[in-house]
Amino acid sequence: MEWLISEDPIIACSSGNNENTAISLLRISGLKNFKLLNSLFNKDLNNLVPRKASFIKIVDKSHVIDEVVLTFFKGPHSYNGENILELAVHGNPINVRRIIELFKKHGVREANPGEITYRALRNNKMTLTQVEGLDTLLNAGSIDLFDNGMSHLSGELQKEYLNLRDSYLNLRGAIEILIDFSEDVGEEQSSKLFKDHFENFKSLIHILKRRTRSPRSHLLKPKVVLLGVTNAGKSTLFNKLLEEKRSIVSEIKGTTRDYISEYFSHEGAEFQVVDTAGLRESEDEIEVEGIKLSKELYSDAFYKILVINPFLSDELGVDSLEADAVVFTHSDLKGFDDKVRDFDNLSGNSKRFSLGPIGPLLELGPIGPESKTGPIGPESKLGPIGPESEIGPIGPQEGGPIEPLGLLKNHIYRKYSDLMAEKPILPDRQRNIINSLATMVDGISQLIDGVNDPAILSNEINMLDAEVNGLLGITTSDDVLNNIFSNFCIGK
Amino acid sequence: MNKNFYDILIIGGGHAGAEAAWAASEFNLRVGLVTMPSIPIASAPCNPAVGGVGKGQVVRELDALGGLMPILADYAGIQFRILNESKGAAVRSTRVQIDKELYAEKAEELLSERKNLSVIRESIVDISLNENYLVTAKSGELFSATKIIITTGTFLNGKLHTGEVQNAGGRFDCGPSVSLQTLVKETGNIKRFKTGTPARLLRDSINFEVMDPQPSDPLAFNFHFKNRDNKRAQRQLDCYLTRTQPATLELIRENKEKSPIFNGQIEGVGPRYCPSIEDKAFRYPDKDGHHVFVEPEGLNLDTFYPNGISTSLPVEIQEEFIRTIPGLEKAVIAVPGYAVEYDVVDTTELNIALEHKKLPGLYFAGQLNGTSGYEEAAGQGFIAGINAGLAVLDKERFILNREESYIGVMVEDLVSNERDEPYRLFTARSESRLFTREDNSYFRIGPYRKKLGLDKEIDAFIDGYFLEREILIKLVKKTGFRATKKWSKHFEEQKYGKIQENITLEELVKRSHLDPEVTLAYELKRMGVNFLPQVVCDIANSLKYEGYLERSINQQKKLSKLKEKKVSWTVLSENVNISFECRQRIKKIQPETFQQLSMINGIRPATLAYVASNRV
Repeated sequence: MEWLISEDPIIACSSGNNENTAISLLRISGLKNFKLLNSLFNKDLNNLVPRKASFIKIVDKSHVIDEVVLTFFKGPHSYNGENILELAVHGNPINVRRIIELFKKHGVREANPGEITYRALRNNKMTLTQVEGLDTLLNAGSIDLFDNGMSHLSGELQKEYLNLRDSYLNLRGAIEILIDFSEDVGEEQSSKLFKDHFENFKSLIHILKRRTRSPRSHLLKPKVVLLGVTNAGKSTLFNKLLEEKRSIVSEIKGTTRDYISEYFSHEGAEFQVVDTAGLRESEDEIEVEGIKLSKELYSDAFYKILVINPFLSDELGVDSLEADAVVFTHSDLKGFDDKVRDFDNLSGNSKRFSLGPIGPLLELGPIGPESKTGPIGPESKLGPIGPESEIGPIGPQEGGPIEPLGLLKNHIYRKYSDLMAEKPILPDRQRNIINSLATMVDGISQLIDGVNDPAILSNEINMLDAEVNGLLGITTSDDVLNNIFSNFCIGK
Repeated sequence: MNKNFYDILIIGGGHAGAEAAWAASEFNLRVGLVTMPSIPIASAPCNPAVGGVGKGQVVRELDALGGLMPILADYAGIQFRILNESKGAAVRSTRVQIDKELYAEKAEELLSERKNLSVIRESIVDISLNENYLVTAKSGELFSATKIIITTGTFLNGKLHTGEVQNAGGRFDCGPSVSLQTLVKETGNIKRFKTGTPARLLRDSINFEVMDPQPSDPLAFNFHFKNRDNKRAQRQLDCYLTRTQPATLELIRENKEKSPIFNGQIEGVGPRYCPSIEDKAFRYPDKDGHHVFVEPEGLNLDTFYPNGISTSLPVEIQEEFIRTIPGLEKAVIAVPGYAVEYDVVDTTELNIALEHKKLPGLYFAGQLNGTSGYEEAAGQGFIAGINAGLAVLDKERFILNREESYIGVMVEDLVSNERDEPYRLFTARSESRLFTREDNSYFRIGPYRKKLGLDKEIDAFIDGYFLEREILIKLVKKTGFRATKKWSKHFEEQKYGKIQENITLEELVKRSHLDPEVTLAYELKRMGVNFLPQVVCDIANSLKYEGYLERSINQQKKLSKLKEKKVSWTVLSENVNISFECRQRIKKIQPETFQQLSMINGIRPATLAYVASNRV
């Protein structure tokens, strides 16, 4: 943790350099003057004009190491408030390594992960919220998430937290007026003032709390999990989603014993699709474990797909599980419609699809995508997709045929983009504070209805102070900083 | 030894000076109290009242410390009230209207009884540091002393304003004193503050019929421990409540250019917490009326104090606007209202004993430290007086803890932060106000008094108090109610709620829907045991607040790690990443810890966040 107070000049490669690339970007931050490094260049660094790129050679005892483009950002008007030299060097990792080693020999230390950004925080160039936004952005698995990080990086969230703090200070002011100055202000008016400010603060907290309700894992690495009894056809669907053959598909029950996962992209978002071990009664210890794992994976999933073979009886109670989509397999078999009709008690909001027959090459077909609730009668749009129906996908009524797979993927993506539209707050630190604030505020609400002793209320309200300040980054726990900065790729 | 030599000389006989003299003369030292020839000791030039929200607590703390103010207030009290009665014991405060004449007479009498204390009627023009302090009076008389306490109130370089009329003076009935700089050349920074007072009105010209009378509350406890029978020394009078009208404020707004506060004639900064009627009219244009409490100045005085309309407008406008107020239509002004500007010491140059850091042996207390209010003045007077005495005797300083007393809060606030406006105590200033209550003042402060070892009646009282307290605590823990028919019935009758299993008296008192004081007092009476009413209230409220207090203490402990974080003000004040204004303030106050930094007015959250995350 010594680096938290270190003022050493540090160097890091800010661009990825796992493979040979044309250019790698090196940053040297925290040089007080150029004395240390001046001998390593063929031109006097003291003549550098800030924010102007110069073509320059790196030399080691008159031997030219590399020809680079160098830009000088003079503190405090730089990314992190310190003097920064940015070197665009030839991107061969061997070259990059050699240059870093050269600078290390001349008193520049290799940066710890996130250290360059940490100095931005230290120098008041960024707030903790912004740093956390940057973290989100750099590790985003989707365009939406990237945008989310970007908006936090630009300070939007910090503004909201400042706004919350203002509301909090008003609330504290109001309770003090109620206690100390109600004779001057008037009893009724000071009571009203307090109530209004409390309601305002409470609603701000609850708005923020709503933005923390989706589990972080759903946003960072959304998992689409398939669940069903053994041999229901999960692997077939899995392969469909990946549009390739990955899972072993066979008629032998219990082929997928462990789980298998792969990624697919849709609309710029990456989803992890997980094919779980089929559920069945089993004595096999390993299989029992596998089945337990399947259920856990399913219940934590961002998007849950229940795969049902309507011709099998549901002894394990799988049908009653909550699902985002239900896929009925074996649609080729006779009596499929009648069988599916028996499932009208399935969780109401699931989207329904049918799949069949088992086999890698057949298409998915939608079953009445608009059937939200209520029984599925014969007059409904469900089906008929029987053996006598047309071969090929059946698209929705409007807009021509859409591949059913696309429909399912759209549905998955829509759920994701709906969550992102709530402008979710991702960093655990902020989520924890917001949730603890919400709990505390609800407690105060109860006190207002119950004891209603302003001295106690004020005591409890004052105790929110640390949390409100914590959101703004007014906190000094080293663990917090360490945790945040350890997530960074090294050069930021 | 020179007859004009003193161990401790107090300059100024107001509330701070009287209290300082009272405290300092408890030691066997030669103490002199120098006061202006023309005015009585401990007179009340502004509102005729002692106590109030946050201030009643100070008066009770003074009583536990053996102070003078509580004795005087009880003696001269003509109307007692409990403020914030509906808001919970922690913020409940006593306020007493006093008879100004009786109050000052009693002060003079009690101070004269102290054999080692001389009251000297002189006006002082110079204080200089030689071997001792050398004090020169206007008359040419010279005094010397090892310790000096300056308590000159609003007098130093005082300037009075009523409309365009300006007079040099500390108050309307008395001429001015020299400036602070003339008096003590070596004091550093000087500020100008301003305060004001309303016109006094003649009794016979007021129509009390149309106002709401506010009678004295017989249940309010007296301040002084010897008066615990709660008998009042004087006949009790009513105060009256009326309101300013839209026409009142309109009139004031029309005459803005005639108000010295708004036309630039007054440069001093006035208290936001005690605004003049002009301030109210201009700062809150949406409000069309304010309370006016019409308060008697004494049993035999024929003047009333209209609380809430202090003003420095020209006399004829004062009369005009006062006559728009119901009940005051025919009011006759006995003394016009005025504003006064005066020199104020920079209290950041004082230490926690109120002694000047660069001029050891020189203490400052009261309104010239930038506070407002008699109680604040008396509290500081006590601290300065006791500490001057202890210093002469070469004993350890007397410091009241911030967590345990309002006086401690005030003194720490004064010396750790520069004031932009007059400082008034209120309960919000105390971080631990669930504990710093009126009802437990003997418990909180008593031990401090005992440690002084001055062994007086008060020490015996405090011992008795602690003993009763201990017994009562045992009693509430041991007394129980069985879940039987008998007690069910009792609980039902008293509306205590259900009794499902055996519970103790302690648990009963803690039930959140009950008034703890009433419940405990009733149960003790039922059992036929007798305790001091103060002890009963103390224990009842301690039980009620226990849990909350504990939580907040735990929280503060958690926070103290951050609060105690050392900061380097020299580094911070040079740091370009901190805004210019913040750096100016940091340079000025020179904070050493994060806590001190965060207490500086106007420090931005960005700066705090920066310092918190930064290991400077």
